[in-house]
Amino acid sequence: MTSIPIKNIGQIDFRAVAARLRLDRLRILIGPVALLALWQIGSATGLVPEQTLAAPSTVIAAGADLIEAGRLQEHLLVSLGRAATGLALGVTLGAVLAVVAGLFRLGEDFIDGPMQILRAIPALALVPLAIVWFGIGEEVKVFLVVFATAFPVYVNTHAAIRGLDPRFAELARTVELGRFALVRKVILPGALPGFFTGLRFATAISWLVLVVSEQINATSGIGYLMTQARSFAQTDVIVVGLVVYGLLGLVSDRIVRLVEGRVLPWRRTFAAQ
Amino acid sequence: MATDLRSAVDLEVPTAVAVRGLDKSFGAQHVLRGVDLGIAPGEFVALLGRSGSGKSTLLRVLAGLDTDFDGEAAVPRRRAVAFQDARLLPWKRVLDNVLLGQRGRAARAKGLETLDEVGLADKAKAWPHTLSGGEGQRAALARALVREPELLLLDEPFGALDALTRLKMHALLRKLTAVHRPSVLLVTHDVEEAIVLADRVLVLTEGRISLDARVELPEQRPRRSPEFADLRDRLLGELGVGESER
Repeated sequence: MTSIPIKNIGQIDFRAVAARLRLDRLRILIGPVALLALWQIGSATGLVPEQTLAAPSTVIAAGADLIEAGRLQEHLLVSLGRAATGLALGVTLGAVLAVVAGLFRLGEDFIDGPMQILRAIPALALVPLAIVWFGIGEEVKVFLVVFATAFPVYVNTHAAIRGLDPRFAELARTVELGRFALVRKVILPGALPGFFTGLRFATAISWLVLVVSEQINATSGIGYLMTQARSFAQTDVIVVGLVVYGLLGLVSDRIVRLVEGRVLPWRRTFAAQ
Repeated sequence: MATDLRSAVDLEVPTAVAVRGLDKSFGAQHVLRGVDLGIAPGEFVALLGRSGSGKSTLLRVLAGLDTDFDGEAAVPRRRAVAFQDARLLPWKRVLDNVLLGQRGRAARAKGLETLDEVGLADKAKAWPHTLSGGEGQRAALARALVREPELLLLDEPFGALDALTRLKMHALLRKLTAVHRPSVLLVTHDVEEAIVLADRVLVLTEGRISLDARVELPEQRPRRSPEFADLRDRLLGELGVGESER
């Protein structure tokens, strides 16, 4: 009888060693680092002109200068404040409307139809109207974020409530759960995963809306910083703004996921299986 | 037309369940045709029937899940139901699932006690999705028993379990009903399960109870005894299973 070795005895298993050192995780950096290196080489050899796209090293220097002068932090805080305010209001509005529409037939009739129609309007198409209503102050930016973020939260939460397994409602009847307890122990917890899906969409969209509204009419914020740099053709500052927006998107998504894991532990263990 | 479920106390009858002339239709489909059924306090009744015979419908009427029917049905106030799926809320730990619908400070201790009775004391804080199929059904049984039901309604509770787990669950259910003494209506399609567990076996055929047999077997219910085989053959025959198919 011949036996086939399923693992070469005596040989070093590089994958196992790498896994132990957690080197595997660094593999995702290979692509981005190579791209950055190519970009830097392109800039150094003049293949990528400075006025088209600043070199990575120049961008880093420009970022350092902005931080030293305190301008980056100042504008970042303004943008963060707008996003946070708009997101908080929009998410609350979307969630409350979804719960009312999901729980009451009258709420469904009055809320769901209009919401489905309104959500077909791209938030940015409201810019002209928003300027007429609010001028060019803070309200426009916050309003646009509220408008854009309420819908994903509404749609996902509402769908989660409507899509709840009817067998759970039947169970609630057999254990004689009251209407209030049914909402608190069955419907709302069951709809939370949908709410978080909406929240993640909303967070991503809030930056998108903010980018545009800060570039159209603003005197502060990351978008303003980039628009200003445009008039002086400072591509390095523009790229700094892009990097900041990218980081904001990544970090905010991670935060939402972290909160989601904490609030829905029964799901976290599910995913870890 | 439709009669509400009434408390057995109102009728002043010694039975736990009293059903008379129960009729139920879904559209043009006549599912139950004048069912008469009495279950004594503490009696374990198994209800057999082929798919679509209306056995689950009858259970749902007694559970109060289906209130649109004709005829009379009286059941005890305190009822509990266990379904074929454990139906545990995924977002509540096992103990909190057991305590669903229970109130008061004493409930928690009682929930833990009941979990211990079904052999799940160490799973009180587990999430439902970490349980095996058998453990899930144990938790569902605990949720039913913690209510101290006078009537326990079981809708094919072991139908989705593997054969070995099912045998263990049979033993557990016998132990639990011996302690708590509720009246039980077990809906099943498993003839041997019905004989092993019940005091009385009914067969529902086309919406009518076509056979009502008392199980006259010793406590241990030896499957190899001729009496067991006789009753099984009678029930299978009533269910329309031919001799060559048994």
